[in-house]
Amino acid sequence: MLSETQRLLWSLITSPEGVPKALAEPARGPGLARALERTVRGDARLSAVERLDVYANMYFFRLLDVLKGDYPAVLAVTGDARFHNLVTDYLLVHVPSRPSLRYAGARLPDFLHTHSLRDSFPCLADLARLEWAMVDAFDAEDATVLSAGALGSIAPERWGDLRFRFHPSLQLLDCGWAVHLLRQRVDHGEEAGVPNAEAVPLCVWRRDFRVFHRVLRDPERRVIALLREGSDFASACAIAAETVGGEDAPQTVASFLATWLRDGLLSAAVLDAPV
Amino acid sequence: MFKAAFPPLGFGVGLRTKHYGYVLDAQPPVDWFEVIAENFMVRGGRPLHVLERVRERYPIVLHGVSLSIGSTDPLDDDYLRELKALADRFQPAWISDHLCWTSVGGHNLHDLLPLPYTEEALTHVIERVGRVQDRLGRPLVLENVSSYLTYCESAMTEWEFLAAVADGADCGLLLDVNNIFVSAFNHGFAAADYLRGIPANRVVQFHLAGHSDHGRYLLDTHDHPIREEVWQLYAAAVRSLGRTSTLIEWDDHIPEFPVLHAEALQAQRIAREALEQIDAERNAAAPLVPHHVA
Repeated sequence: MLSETQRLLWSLITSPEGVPKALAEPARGPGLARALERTVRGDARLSAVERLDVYANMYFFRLLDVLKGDYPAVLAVTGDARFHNLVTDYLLVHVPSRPSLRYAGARLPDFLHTHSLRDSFPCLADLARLEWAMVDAFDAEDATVLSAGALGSIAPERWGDLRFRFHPSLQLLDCGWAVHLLRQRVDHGEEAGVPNAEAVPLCVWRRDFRVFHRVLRDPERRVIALLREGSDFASACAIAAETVGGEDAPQTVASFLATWLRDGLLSAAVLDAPV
Repeated sequence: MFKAAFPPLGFGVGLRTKHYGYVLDAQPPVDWFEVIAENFMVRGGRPLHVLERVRERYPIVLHGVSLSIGSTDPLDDDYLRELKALADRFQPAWISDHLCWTSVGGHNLHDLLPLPYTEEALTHVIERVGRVQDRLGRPLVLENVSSYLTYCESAMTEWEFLAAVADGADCGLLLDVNNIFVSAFNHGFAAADYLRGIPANRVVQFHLAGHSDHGRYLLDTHDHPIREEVWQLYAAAVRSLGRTSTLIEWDDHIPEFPVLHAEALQAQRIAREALEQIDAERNAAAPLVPHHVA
């Protein structure tokens, strides 16, 4: 049966330490070995085990390469050997299921929350979240970028009702480590170093096909989250007022807006009537 | 004639990320590009922008790696919908994928596993190709994979299986000349027998690539220049199967674009010489027209 053949080969190819070791396991090895012997033809050039092991090697190293590309800073922190073992453990739990390799590493950040490497490198899960957010931002949906001129025509009395749409690539992360600085060092070819333990709210976004990240300080983090959920400018000022006082709040939020416009974080401003 | 519906595109190169900037800026005189379909099944960003601009200037072919036409899993509806949307948007000259299986039990190996060459597999693949072609609204072109194993239960040769799929499903073939060479070495068959068994009318494209020598077996790594033996097999393929769109693949340790372009131009020279040789042989074999005898 074709389905049985495919399941047999899949189970051996994805064995974490290769086909020969899988066949040496007392619990399942002998049965698998007989099934493989009946299924795959060996010859003087290569045995059936060696032939299938070519695929097992390619399976692992292809995925290892993809994850190295997605998580260069995690690789820099852990080093090659630990990263290799991490990917081995990860693939046992999160077997690729989507047609594109693009998503093979999607669950590594969550996986790192429970992996033993976290004891030695407690920043890893946060670092992986930042790196995966950068992967996601790279090919996020396209959108127009709002220009400052589009806001110039809005009468002051209508600003309170103004709502904003953010670029689809924008992601907000609350990290417990300064992982953004670590990633910057790796990007610049420097030593990864050890990040400080501190609360670091980050935003990640794409502009002109380049992915950026930066720190959001309070109240910017709360204001941007509120506006992204659909609240209006007046509500954003009320939140900002808790930190900077009611008198300065409109100016504070306006300065955030100026920064977001400069960085390309906004894609539209909306009133009941189109702006 | 099946092949007549796929006019030759000439000599192309597989478009890779490393060359995006060069291709957009220099607009090299390459006949066409092949792109990996899955790399463009994304929501936005640079890949789709680049493909838009490339498509404005060049014919393209969508080449998939995850259709898994030989899998016993159900066909992936989401994947087919995305593939069709991509084809509708970019209007490729054709869509190709591999005669293999890549997934089972909902898990993807991201590798091109050969099928056992049995009646069961043949029936299974033909039925699925038919459904895919219906979904895409166009013929599918299937490529022979390089392989490192064969199955005890296979009852026909790879080329017999390939030809039977093409005829049974009324689909096209993408003949990877390097894959034939690699598999011939790994399994001990004659590449010439393979070429003789392929129906010329079904072959709409050739692939050429480099491989690496691991001593007891060859690995289809796409990380070397095309080997001399593969160029010779390509010449034989052109003589046997006629004028056919040809594409250079290079996926690892990718050199600068002009190196790939030079390989495409080498393919063009070899194909021209092979076709000239056929013409010369035909002319030599043709009987002289006798003078009219009153």
